[in-house]
Amino acid sequence: MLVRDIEKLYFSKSALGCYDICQLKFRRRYLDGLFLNSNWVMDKKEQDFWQLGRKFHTLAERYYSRQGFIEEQSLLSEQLITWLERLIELRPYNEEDIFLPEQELRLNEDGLRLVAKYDLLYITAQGKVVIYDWKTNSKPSKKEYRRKNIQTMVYRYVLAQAGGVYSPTGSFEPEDISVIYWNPRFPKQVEPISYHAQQVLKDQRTLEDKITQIKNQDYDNFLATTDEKICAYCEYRPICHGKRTLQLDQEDDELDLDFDWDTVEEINMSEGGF
Amino acid sequence: MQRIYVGPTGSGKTTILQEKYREKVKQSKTEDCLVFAKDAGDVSNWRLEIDLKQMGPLQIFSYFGFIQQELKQYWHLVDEELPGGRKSLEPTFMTVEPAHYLMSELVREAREEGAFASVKATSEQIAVQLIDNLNLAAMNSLNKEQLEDKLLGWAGADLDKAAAYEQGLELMLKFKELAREERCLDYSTLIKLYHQHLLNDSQYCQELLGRYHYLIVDDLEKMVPGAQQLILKLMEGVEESYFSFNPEGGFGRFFGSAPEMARENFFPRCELVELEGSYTSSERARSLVQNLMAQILEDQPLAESPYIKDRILTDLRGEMLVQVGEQIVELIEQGIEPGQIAVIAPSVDQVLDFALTKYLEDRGYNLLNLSSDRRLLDNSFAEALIVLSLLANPEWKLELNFSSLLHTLSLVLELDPVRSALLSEEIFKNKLELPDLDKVGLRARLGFANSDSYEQLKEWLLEQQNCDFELDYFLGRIFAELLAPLTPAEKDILACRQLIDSIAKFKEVGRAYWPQEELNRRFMKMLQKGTLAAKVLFKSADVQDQVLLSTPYSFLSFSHLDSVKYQFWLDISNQLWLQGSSKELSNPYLLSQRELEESWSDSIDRSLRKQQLCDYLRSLLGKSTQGLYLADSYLSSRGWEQDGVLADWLSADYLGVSADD
Repeated sequence: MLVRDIEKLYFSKSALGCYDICQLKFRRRYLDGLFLNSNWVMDKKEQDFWQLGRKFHTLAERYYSRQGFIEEQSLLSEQLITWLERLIELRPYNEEDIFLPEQELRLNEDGLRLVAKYDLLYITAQGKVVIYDWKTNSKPSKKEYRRKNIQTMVYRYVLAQAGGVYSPTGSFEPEDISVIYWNPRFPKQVEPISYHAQQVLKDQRTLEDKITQIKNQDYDNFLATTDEKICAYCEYRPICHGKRTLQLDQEDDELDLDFDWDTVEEINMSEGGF
Repeated sequence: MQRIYVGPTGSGKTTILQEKYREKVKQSKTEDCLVFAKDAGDVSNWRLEIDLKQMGPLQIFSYFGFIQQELKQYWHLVDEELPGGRKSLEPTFMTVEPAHYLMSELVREAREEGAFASVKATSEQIAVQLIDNLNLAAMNSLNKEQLEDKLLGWAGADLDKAAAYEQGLELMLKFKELAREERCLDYSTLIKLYHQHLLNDSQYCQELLGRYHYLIVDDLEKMVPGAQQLILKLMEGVEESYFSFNPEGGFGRFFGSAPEMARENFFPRCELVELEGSYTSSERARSLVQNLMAQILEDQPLAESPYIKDRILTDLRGEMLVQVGEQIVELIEQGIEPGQIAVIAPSVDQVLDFALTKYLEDRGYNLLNLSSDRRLLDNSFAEALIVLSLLANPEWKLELNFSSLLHTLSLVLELDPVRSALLSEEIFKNKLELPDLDKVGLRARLGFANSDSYEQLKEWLLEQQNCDFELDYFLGRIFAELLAPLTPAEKDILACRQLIDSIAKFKEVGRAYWPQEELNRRFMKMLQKGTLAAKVLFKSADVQDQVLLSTPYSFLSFSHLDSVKYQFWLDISNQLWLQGSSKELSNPYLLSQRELEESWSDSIDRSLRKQQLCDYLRSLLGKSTQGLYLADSYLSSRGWEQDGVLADWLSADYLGVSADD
């Protein structure tokens, strides 16, 4: 495996979020290529929780990509059946609109390289688009937090700049775009976060500044966070500080299913000959 | 439009295809254009090279990656056709190690009942060969009867062989049935299911053929027959297809690729565009390879080539390695970048790796070993993870190697080898329980500080014995609490990560076959057999700054390097240069899709070995631009006389005519 050159990297919300919480973690993960899966430090209960969220994402993807296909109930747990029913109630599939599940978009403009992977892009015939992001945490998150976080910024900005090809009108105006973070545990909590032209410019500046800062930073200056709470739950803690990672409380943690920059795994035949 | 760009390595085929890709997706969307590259490394390179302003999902895959994605997406169509009907939400993908382990267990059971009595190979080696057979059969779309005919035909009148092949077939069948029943898909099952179920499903095919407008295939000659079948199907649905074909890229033939079949399948359907020249090799290298192939295949004399810069010939291998080192240093001092020098040997053994690394390091240069045959357990941190797990779990009753324990104690307690050995002896005497230092009289010999560390380790292990844990989580704890404080290097962290990731994958597969309580012990057993090879993390700076050491296969498969300036071919009288691909129970030539004109014989074997060698040498010289150094020693590192024939073929017959005249 060859570690990638930072100039060629596409920055995702995970990468930028990682840099914000701990620069050293960012360096290890994205510059050194040392990807430690957070599963590493999960016990069985946490892994089951993670698997449940993953399965929900799979079911949602199949429902929208297979024109409303619903999996056989005998294969699903009660909880997943309920979640899937709630999802269908929230946004039922139809033939008229465009549904793009697990859609990836990349933007590469003037040194600004960004990638966004959406759980679902829902596009109406009138050219309005809703970005759906599925959350399965036990606790609901606050809209104000969502509005300001880096995920919202990357999602909306990349779609506005690189998603026009999917619009029936040829482009998305910022006002056409909204984001909904939806959790099947709290189905009634549907709070669209809108977008507008001024915010686009603001996001652009923020993202450019942040990426420039990362690119210009000396390798040795990617320092560990001083926030002990963040550090204590980080999977890189043993390497950075020689201490065990504390149990991650999934109820407070975001389920991160964004696997950008992970290498494709191949199964090769046994090496014969030489 | 259906076009094939035909040209040798370095003629610019991939660059043209990438340009074509950009042109096409600019007119539409990235998801309209499907690209097949030969493997994950090339897929990764393609993804990096495609630099458009706006991009949707990149549909760039290896054949295997593509069908894996398709089976995942359309699993319901396949699952309902398998024994027992709908059973699983999604399939489990079986990686190489669990597949080999599962087959090894089947072989071991069969051997206990007397099977494979005439086969002189270990159960693990037999398992690898049977898995290779399954893979070759799947890649070549052979059904059970064809596989049986080909294998039994190979046995001829030899009853022992025929019995062994029958037994092998039985196990292969059993393995396949288990995989289907449990929805645990190894490479061969994945291919079979895709072709048998999805490609024969009209609903799926309709969707597939309507999905893409453009098809691009890089390295068509490397595509296995199954991939070619899929490409032909996709061509029915797309508007335009663009392919590249390297007429000199035959070295993958023994891993399933079918260049001749690709010619037959695609050349008559497409416009051919011939490309000439090569930026990765020189005219002199190309001329040498032509002469060399004529020598090997037709016994023509080899004219002296100015491309061969020097021939190092010594009695002892150690002397040869020193002279190779001297020559490398001389080149670097003349201004050649270390990354522009590749040392290639048919087998990269530890002596070669160590001697050359040491020689270069003493002079301020580094060596990067690209070959992937290092065992994961050769890494001291990964080894310590295993040893400490075994010490914490005596109920597994697994054997522990004395030297492994010694290494681990040295590492974790930071003891010198003598003290580690004393302590290891006492631990062995105490049946792998850590003894009381006072009772065994070691406290004084270990010293106060060391004894204190030992007591802490002992206490930690005792605490773990009472915990009900998942092994991957437990290994993570060992790493975090005992090993990470020892400031492991990046390669050590990577080895531990690989080991911990592999238990998760093993358990996912193993749950289908064995009781939960056996999984940890079985995983450890698999590791102790040395099944896991260490992955190496390469950085771009490493590749530029370090002299490369590799086998021919690893060098040619390394997708992050176009060419080097100088190559050193080592041990040219080693017989491994002319190694065949057929083994006791497996033979890629026989299991190809083609109808064989004559039955297997020694003369076919010899001729195939020569052809394989030529394919390798041609590809190697296709990745070298300034010169070749040959190095050989009369005796191998074990002190045995070497009598491989490549050295003879490379001896110029001084006819007074230079190849360039």
